[in-house]
Amino acid sequence: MPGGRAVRRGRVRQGPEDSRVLRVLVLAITLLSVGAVAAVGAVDLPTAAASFLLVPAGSWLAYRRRGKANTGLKAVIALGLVAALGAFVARVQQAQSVDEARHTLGSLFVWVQVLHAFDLPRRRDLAFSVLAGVALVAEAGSLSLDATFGLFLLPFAVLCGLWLYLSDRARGRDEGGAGRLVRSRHAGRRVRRIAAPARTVAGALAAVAVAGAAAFLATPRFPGTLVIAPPFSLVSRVAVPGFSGGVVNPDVPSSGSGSVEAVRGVGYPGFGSEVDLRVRGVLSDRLVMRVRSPEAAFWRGQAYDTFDGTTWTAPGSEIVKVGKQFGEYGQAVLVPITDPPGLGTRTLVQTFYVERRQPNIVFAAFQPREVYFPADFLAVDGFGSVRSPIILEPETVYSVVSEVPVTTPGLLRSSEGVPWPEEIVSRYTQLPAGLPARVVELAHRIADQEPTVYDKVMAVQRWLRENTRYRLDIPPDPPGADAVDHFLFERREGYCEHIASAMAVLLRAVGIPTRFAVGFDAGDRNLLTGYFEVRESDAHSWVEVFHPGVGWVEYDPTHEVPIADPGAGSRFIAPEVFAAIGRWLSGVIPDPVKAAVGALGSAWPWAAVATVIAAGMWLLRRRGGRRARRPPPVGAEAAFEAMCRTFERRGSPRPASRTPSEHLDALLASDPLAREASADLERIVRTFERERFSPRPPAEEEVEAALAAAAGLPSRPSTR
Amino acid sequence: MHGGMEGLQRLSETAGAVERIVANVERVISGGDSAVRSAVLCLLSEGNLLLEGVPGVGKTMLGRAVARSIGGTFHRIQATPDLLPSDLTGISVYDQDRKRFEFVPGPIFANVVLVDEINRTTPRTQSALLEPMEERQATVEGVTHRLPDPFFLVATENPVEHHGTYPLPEGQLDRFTMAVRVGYPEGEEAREVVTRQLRRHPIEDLEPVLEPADVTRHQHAVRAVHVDGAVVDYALGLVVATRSHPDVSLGASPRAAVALTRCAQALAAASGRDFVLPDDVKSLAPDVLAHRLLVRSRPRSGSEVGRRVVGELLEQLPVPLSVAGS
Amino acid sequence: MPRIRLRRRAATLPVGALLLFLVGTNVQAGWLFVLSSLLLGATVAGVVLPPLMVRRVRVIRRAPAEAFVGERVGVDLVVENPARRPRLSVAVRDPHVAPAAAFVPWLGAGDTVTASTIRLAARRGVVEGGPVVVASSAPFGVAEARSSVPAGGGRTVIFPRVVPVAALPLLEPGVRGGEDAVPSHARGEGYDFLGVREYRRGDSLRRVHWPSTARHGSLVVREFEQDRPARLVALVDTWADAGRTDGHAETALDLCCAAAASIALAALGAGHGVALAAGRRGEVAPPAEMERRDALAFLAELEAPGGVSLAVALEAVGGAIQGPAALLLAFASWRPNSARALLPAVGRLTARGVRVAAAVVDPASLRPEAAVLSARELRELVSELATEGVDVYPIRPEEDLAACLAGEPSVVAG
Repeated sequence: MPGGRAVRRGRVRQGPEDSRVLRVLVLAITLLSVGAVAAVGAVDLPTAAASFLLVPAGSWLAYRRRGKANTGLKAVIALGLVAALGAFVARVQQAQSVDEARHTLGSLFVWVQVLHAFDLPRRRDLAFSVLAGVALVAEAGSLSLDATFGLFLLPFAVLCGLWLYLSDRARGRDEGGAGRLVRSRHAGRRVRRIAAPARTVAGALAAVAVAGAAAFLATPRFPGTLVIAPPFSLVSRVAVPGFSGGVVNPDVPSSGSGSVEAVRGVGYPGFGSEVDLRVRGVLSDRLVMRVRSPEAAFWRGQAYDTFDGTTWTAPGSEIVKVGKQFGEYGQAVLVPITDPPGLGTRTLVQTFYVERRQPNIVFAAFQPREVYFPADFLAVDGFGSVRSPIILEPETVYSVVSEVPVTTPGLLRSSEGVPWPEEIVSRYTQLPAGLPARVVELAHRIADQEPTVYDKVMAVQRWLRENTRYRLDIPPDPPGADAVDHFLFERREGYCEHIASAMAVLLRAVGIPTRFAVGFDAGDRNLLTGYFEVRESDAHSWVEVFHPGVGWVEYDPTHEVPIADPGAGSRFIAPEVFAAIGRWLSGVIPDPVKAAVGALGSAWPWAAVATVIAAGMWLLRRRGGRRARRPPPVGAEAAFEAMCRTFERRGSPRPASRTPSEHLDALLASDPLAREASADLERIVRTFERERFSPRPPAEEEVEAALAAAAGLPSRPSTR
Repeated sequence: MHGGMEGLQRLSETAGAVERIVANVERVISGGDSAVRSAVLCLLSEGNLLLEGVPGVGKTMLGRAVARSIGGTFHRIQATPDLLPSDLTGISVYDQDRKRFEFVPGPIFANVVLVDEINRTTPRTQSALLEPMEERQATVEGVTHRLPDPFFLVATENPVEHHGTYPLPEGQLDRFTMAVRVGYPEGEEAREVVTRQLRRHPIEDLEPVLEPADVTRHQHAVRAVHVDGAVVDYALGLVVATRSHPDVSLGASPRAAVALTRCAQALAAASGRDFVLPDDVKSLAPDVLAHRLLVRSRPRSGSEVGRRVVGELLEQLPVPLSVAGS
Repeated sequence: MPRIRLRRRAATLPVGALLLFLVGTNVQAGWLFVLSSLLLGATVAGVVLPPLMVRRVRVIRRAPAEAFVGERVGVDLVVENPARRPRLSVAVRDPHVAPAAAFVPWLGAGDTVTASTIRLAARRGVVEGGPVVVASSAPFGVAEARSSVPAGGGRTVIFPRVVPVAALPLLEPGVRGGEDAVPSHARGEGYDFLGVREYRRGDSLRRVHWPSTARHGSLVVREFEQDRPARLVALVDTWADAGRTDGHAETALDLCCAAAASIALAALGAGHGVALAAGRRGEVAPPAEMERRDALAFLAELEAPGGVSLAVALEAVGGAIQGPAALLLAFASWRPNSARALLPAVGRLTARGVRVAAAVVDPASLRPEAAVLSARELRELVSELATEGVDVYPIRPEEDLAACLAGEPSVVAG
C-alpha cells in the first residue's frame, strides 16, 4: 500500500506562539481575574494597581521576546517567585484567622500571575496563565458575599470560552499544514456576514448555559468539612459600656415604661430584655447580615420563660462569662450546653457577616457549642443564648459551630414515657395570673385527645393555623386585656409574637414545658453565592418545646414548618431555583391567566405538559415547513436528481461545479453500471437539459420516460 | 417564442455553415481543430480573435483561410515598431485635381483583417484599433467611416518574452472576444502539415463556402439563441469570481460577461441547439476570460496563469441546476 | 454516525470542576459551584457540538491521475457545506498518496473552500480514491468528532521511480554471432540498405524515400541494418517482496520496478520497442509491447506474491521472444533464484543471441518476506551469470539507483 512521509501528527513540538489575538485575549483574562480579586478585597490597592501596570507591560515584553531564550529573565522571575512565596509564608504564620490567610493567598496568586506574564513564549504558557486566572477568579468567588461578583464572572467566562475556541483553532491550523485555501460562495445565495457567526456564537453559548444550568441544579450541597478555622474578623471594636451579660440594643431605649411606643424600622425591639406584645411597628427590608450555612435554620437570639399577660421576660436566667479555650478549629469560646439533648445531633458550621449595626447578641442556630468571636470572652445565659461584650458593627464576622438536634416525628413520638424533669416542668409551665379560663379550656379541648406530646403540639399548631391569621397591621390591644386571650378569641389576627405566644400559653396550659424564643428567620438564600441574606423583616419569634428524653425542639406555628429532616432532597437547590422561578413567573403572569390556571385545580401539571408538547410540535412543523418550502423537484429534474443520488451512493457524487453532461461523461468513464445503462442516462441528461435550459420544454412522454429510467437504475444488477 | 420552428431551422443552417467553414479551413490548416473552431465561433459572435503562439504554427494561414472561406476581402497587416495609426485606419489625401481631401481607407477596411504580431507595435498604434474592434467604425480627422460588415479582426501575438514586444494594454485585451492558443502540431497532424504542402500550398485552391451576407445572417441567428436566466447568472458569477481570486489583481469586466454569453450562444448554435447550456459557458470560459485577467504574480506571460485561474474557478463554481434556486 | 474521541481537555475541565466543587463545599461558597457548573457545561457542550460540526460536510478530492515516485503531488480538497448552519474548525485528513491534512477554520452555510495540499509520493502503486476523515473539535476543543466521508473516486497511479540511465551496454551496438543476429541498437547512419518501412515518430525526415511516399500516399522511410531497433523485454520477478524499514522508503519489488522502468524508458527514448512481463496471479502473460505510459502503469500495479517463480517465468517468456531482442531481468535474490535454477534458461537465450542483463536487488537490509540466498550463493549466481555473458547490475537499497545502473556491470563484491 503506497504511503508517504507522514505530515506532522500528534504531539507537535511547539514553537513560539505568534498569534497576537491569543495574547491579547490572555491579557484580558489575566486583568479581569486580578480585577475580580481586587474588587473582593483580597489584595490591597497598591498591589492591584501595580499588577494593572505590570501585566500589560509584561505581556508586551513576552511577545517581543518570545523567540529568544530569556535565561536572564527566567532567573529574575524565579527569584521573584521565591520572594513572593517567602513573604506569603511569613504573613500566613501571623494570620489570626483563615480569612486573613485567604487574603495573603490572594496576594500570592496575583504576584505569580504578574511574574508569569513576563515570560510567555508558547501556547502552553498562555494556557497556564488562563488556568492561573481561573484560580484567581475562584479565590475571589469564594470570598465574595453578594451577587455583584457575577459582573466579573460573566465576561470572564465568555473570554475563557473564547480562549478554548481560539486555542483549539490554532491547534487545528498547526495540524492543517500550509495548504492554501480558496473560498467561493454559493452563486445566488445571499450571505449575511454578521448574522451567521453571531448565530453560531449564540448557539454555543446557549449550549454551555443550558448544560451549565443543569449541572448547577444537579450539584449537591453538602455541609462541608471546614478543616481550617472558621473565619472571624472585626473592623472596629465598640465596647458595651458596663457589660455584665445583659443585652444592649442600641436601637431601643432601655425598657421599663408601661407605655407602648410605635416602632418604625429602627431595629427589632424584641432583642432586649423583654418582648412586649403590645408594640406595633413596621420592619424594613434592609439587609441585616449574611449567613453562610449549609442549611437553613433559625438564627436564635433570645429565649424567655415568664409571661405576664403582655410581656415575656426571663428574670431568673443566670449569666455566665466564658473565656476562650482551644476549640476544634482554633481559639473559641466553648458554650456550656445547658440541656444536653437525648437524641443524636449533627454539627452545623455557620459564619455570620454583619451588615448593619446589631445589638450585642451572638445569633446562632440552637444550640451553639463553639463560638469563634473577635473578643476575649462572651456571656451565656441560662437558655443558651450568647451575648458579646462589643456591639456588632458592620463588617464584623464571626462563626459558630452548633449542634442541631436530629428529630423526626417517629423519634419524637417514641420518646413518650420518659418522665419530665421536675425543674423543667415547674419553670416552663408558668402561666400569667390573669389568664382567662377559656384559654385553658381551649387548650384542653385541642390537645387532650392526642396521645403523645408531639401530637398535642401538632394539634395546637394546626388549630392556630386554621383559626388565626398572620397579619401585620392590627389595631392596638385594648388596655388591660391579656394579649393572648384577646388574640385567640377577639381579634384572631396577629403577627409572629402573638401566634407564638398563643402556642406557648396553650401548651403550658396542658402542662407541656414551653418557652418563647426570638431571633431571625433563615432568610432568603442567594442562589448564586449560597449565602442566606437576612433582612430586618426576617426577625421572628417561635416556641421551643421540651420533649422528655429528647430535649428542646423548635416549632414555628407562624409558618407551620414541619420538622426538617435533611434528606437527600435538601441537598439540591433545584427546588429553590424552581420556587424562585415560580415566584418570578407569578409576578409576571397576568391575573386572568392565573385564575384560569387556578380553575384547572390539581390538573394543572397535565395542562402545562400538554401545552409544552403542543408548542414543540408546532415549532417542529414550522421548521419542517421552512425546509419543505423548497418544493421537491418534479419532472426531468427529479429524474436527474434521482440519478445523481444513485451514483452518489455508489461513491461518485456530483460536484456542484459539474454540469449534467460532464457528470455523465465522468460516470461513463468510471462506473460500470453507468456504461451498462448509458442509453438511459443519456436520455435522462438530455431531457433534463432541455427542460431546464430550453425555451421549449420536452414533451410529457419524454419526461415520463426519463423518470422511469431513473427509477429503474437502482434495481439494475450491477457489476460491483 | 414565435417562429420557433423556423428559428430551429435557421439554427440548423448555422450549424451546417459552421461545419462547412471549419472543414474548408482544415483543408489548409491541420491540427488545432479547436483553434479553427474557436475562430469560427468568434466570427459568428461578431467578435475579435487573438491568436497566441510561437511563430510558424499557422496563425496567419488561419486568418487567410477564414477570409477566403467566407468570400470576403482579406487584408494582412504586419505590425512593426514603426507602424503609425494612420497606416491602419487610412488618411486623407489632398487631391490636386479636384482640390479637396480624399479619404484613402487603410487596410482595416476589409471583411477579415489579420494583424500579425500585434505586440510588436507601440501601444499608441494598437489603440488605433480600439474603435474599429469595438464599434466597427474608424474616425479619421473627425469623419467617421463604417467598416464593412461582417468585420472580423484577427490578431496574432508572439510570446511576451521574445525580443522587441510591447504588452497589450488591458483595454485592448478586453476587446478581444477570445484568445486562442495555437500550439505545435503533434503526430499525425505534424505529418499532414508537411504532406499537404509538398506540392503547392492548398490555400491557393481554397474556395469560399459562404457569402458575407450569409455570415451576417448567421450572426443574427446566433443572437436569437435562447439563454436561460440561470446561465446568464452563471456567466456573471464566473466573471465576478475572477475579481476576487487571490492571484488576480484586476478581474474581468462586464464586457467579458457579454462576450462569454454571446460566444456560448454561438457554440450552442454550432452544436445545433437553440438554447445555451452551462457546458457551453464552461468550455469557452478559458478562451474568453483568461486573457482579460491581470495577474499578480509576474508580468503577464501570455494567458497561462489566467487559464489556470479560470480553470480553478470553473471547478469551484456550482452550476445552476435546480429551478428552486440551488 | 461520527465517532467521538475525547481530548485532554475532556479530562482537565471536569477535574477542575470537581476541584472547584470540593473547595466550594469546603468553604461553603456558592460562586464556586457556579464556576464548577460552567466548566461542566463547557465540557458537555464541547462533547455534544462537534458531531453537529461534522454533519453534512462534503469533500471532493481532485488528484492527478498519474505521478512519479519522489514527485510532489498537488492534491486539492474541495470542502463543501450544503447545510444551513456554518461549520467551525473543520479538519480534513486525507491519506491519498501520503497522509495530509487541511484545516478550514470557518465554513459558512453554502460555502465551498478549496484546500491545496502537496504530498510526496514515496512508493509506487495504485492509490484508490478512498474516503477522507472529516473531523472537528469546535468550539471548545474538548472532544473531536470524526466521520468518514467518501471523497469522490479517482485513482492516482504512482509510477515507479525513474532514474537517468547512462548508456547501458544493453542498448548499445555490439555484434554477436548467432541465429538472430543481434543488431546494433544505435540510431545513426548505417550502410546496408535493408528496405523501406512506414514512417514512425522520431524518424528523421531525411530518411524519407520520396518516390515510395508518392506512390504510397503516406510517408515512407528507408531502413538500414543498423537501424533495426531491437525490442527490449523486461521481466520482473514478483515471487516475493521485502518490506520497508526505517531507513529505506522502498521495498525490494519497488527497486526492481524502478530499475526496470528506468531502463525501459531509456530504451523507449532511444527508439526501441519495450515489452514487459511479470508473474501476476499465478501466470505470466506473454510480454506485451507497451508505450511509455502503459509500461509505467504496468510496473506501478505489480504486486507480490505473483505466484510464479523467476525460473518458470523465464521459460515462458524466453519462448515468446522472437527476433532481435534484449532481455532485462529485474529480481531480488530469493531462494528460488539460484544459479542452478536460472542458468539453463539464460544460457539458452544467450545462445540464441539475445542480449541479457540482470538487475539484482539484495534485500538483506530490508525485511524479506521469503527466504533469501546467502551471500555466498548470491556471489555464485552473479559470477555464473557474468560468465554466461549477462550484464549484472547489483542493486542495494542503501545505494543510489542511478549509480548502481551506471556502474560497470561487474561481479558483485561480497
